[in-house]
Amino acid sequence: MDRISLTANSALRPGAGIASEVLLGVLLLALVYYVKVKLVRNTKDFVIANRKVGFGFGVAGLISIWTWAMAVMMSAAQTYSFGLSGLFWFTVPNGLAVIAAIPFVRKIRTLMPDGYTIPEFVKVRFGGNAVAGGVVVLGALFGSLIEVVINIKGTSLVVSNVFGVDPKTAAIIGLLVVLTYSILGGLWASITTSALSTLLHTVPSAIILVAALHYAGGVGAVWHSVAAQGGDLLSVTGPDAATGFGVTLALGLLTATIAGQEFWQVAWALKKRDVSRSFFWAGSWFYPIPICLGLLGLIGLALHVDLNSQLGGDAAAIGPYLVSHLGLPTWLVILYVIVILSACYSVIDSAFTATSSVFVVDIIKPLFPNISEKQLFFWAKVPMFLTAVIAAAVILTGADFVTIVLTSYAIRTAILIPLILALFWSRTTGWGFVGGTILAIAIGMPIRSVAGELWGSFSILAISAAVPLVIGYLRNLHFDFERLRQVKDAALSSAPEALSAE
Amino acid sequence: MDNLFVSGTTVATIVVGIIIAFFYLRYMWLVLQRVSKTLDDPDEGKTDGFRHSFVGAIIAVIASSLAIAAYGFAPHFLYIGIILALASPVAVAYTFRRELDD
Repeated sequence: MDRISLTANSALRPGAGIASEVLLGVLLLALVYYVKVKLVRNTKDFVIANRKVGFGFGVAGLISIWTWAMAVMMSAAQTYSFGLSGLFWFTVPNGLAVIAAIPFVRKIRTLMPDGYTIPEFVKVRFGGNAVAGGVVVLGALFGSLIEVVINIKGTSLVVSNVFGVDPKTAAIIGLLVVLTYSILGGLWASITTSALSTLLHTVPSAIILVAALHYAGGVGAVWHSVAAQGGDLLSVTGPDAATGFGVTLALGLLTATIAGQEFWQVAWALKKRDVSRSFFWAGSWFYPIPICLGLLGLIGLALHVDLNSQLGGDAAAIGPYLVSHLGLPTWLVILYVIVILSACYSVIDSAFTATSSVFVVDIIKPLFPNISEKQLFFWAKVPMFLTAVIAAAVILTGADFVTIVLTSYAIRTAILIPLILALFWSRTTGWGFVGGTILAIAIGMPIRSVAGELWGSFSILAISAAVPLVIGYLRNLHFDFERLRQVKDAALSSAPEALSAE
Repeated sequence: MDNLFVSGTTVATIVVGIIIAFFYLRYMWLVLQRVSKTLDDPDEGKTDGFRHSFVGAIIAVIASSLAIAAYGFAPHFLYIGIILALASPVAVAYTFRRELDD
């Protein structure tokens, strides 16, 4: 293995990086143009795809929406850091989080077949409790914003590391590309481009890994080099990964799917018969992506890549570093960048659509119930633009990114159990929901900062469960779930003639 | 040319990948066209059709765990991840095909 030299590919210049971002965008834009002309006629098509997403697009879309840029890079990073136990603890909870959402999405689709958003459900469930609705609106918008920021940072990390493009320039170009096609097609654009991205996450990954293994000396050389280092690197039972990140990651992933508007909107957009099987197939066939790309971490271990001197102290850089330094042909390096970019873009467009549906259904419609279809269609696009502007401001100004991440994490984790109780336990009250969420954040976050992520997460979950349970038992009020079934389709016009396809 | 396409195994993977991509895109395109023609068809009376999610979830988790554990058994098991990455779009293409049949 010592004969393998890792040197930068001199053909990788900034122009190629920017071209990769733009060309992928143009490809997706061409698809979205067709979608816009054929499928997007009004606000309902834009925010919920007229509830006509079928099995194929459901599975393909969900896989890509769940494949974050960081997920693509972190599978290699955790393998590089912990060996196979890192890959195990990163990968298994990831797919399981999508499958674990099935009881919840099936329940919500049965209880409230014409819903759009989590805040909408919460408001109806708790008799219009404005505080409960407000907390969830805030959580949904913050959650989507943070997804945009994290993934646009992923874009800039890869494009700047591989091609030497200025990170801020790479981020802004990526944002503009996704914003352009998202504004055209809404959820249909998100689902169809994500379906294309799923193909880009899988076949190119297989080709890149076969080539990378070849350049690293072959599977035998890689495997024996890692085995020779000992330390359980080729075992999935090493305890370090579980305690280091596995348990908290698993909790965070469950929160992201079960309390994530990006997943609920797909549940409501799917045809009724396809909801459960789409989530199941998506969770199951998501697994091969991190399992395959995790091999880059093993190659990094085999080649003794140094974390500090070669990766700048960031294990997430192992994938981009290896692909651009192993000597792979330039077209394969660009293909790898496209894998990452497509992961970034699909998550960002999904987050844009989530902000759109929350803004339209939970803010604009209640404020202006008689708003015309044309105006509503216009306002559905505004939050996408605003989210992009805020994300750009965070990136360009170096604003306190950590605070946004922590706030988003806290709200989503704190909402998880109250939301589950609201779905399944008729005695959950609005003030139990609000009290559980707010107290969990107020008490749990300081615990998290003192005692670490694991105990902080457990504290937030415990408090957010205890408060609504206690209040529910004390109040002994029973909600009639049939009331959810009577919710009208947010009065959004779905008439084909409402807007022309232009 | 050798350097451009890296190795015989890489060329084989590229060929298989192109075939998979062709069918994936074909079925995706056919579904897209069909959706555009059936956009206003009612979705009434059809309930959620999947009843095996719990057992399926256990199988999926065990299978993925085994795939990762297999990396540690012997060098050639490292190809499992690559084969699965090629199998994933085949499975998704199948779901598009199923949607066309529904």
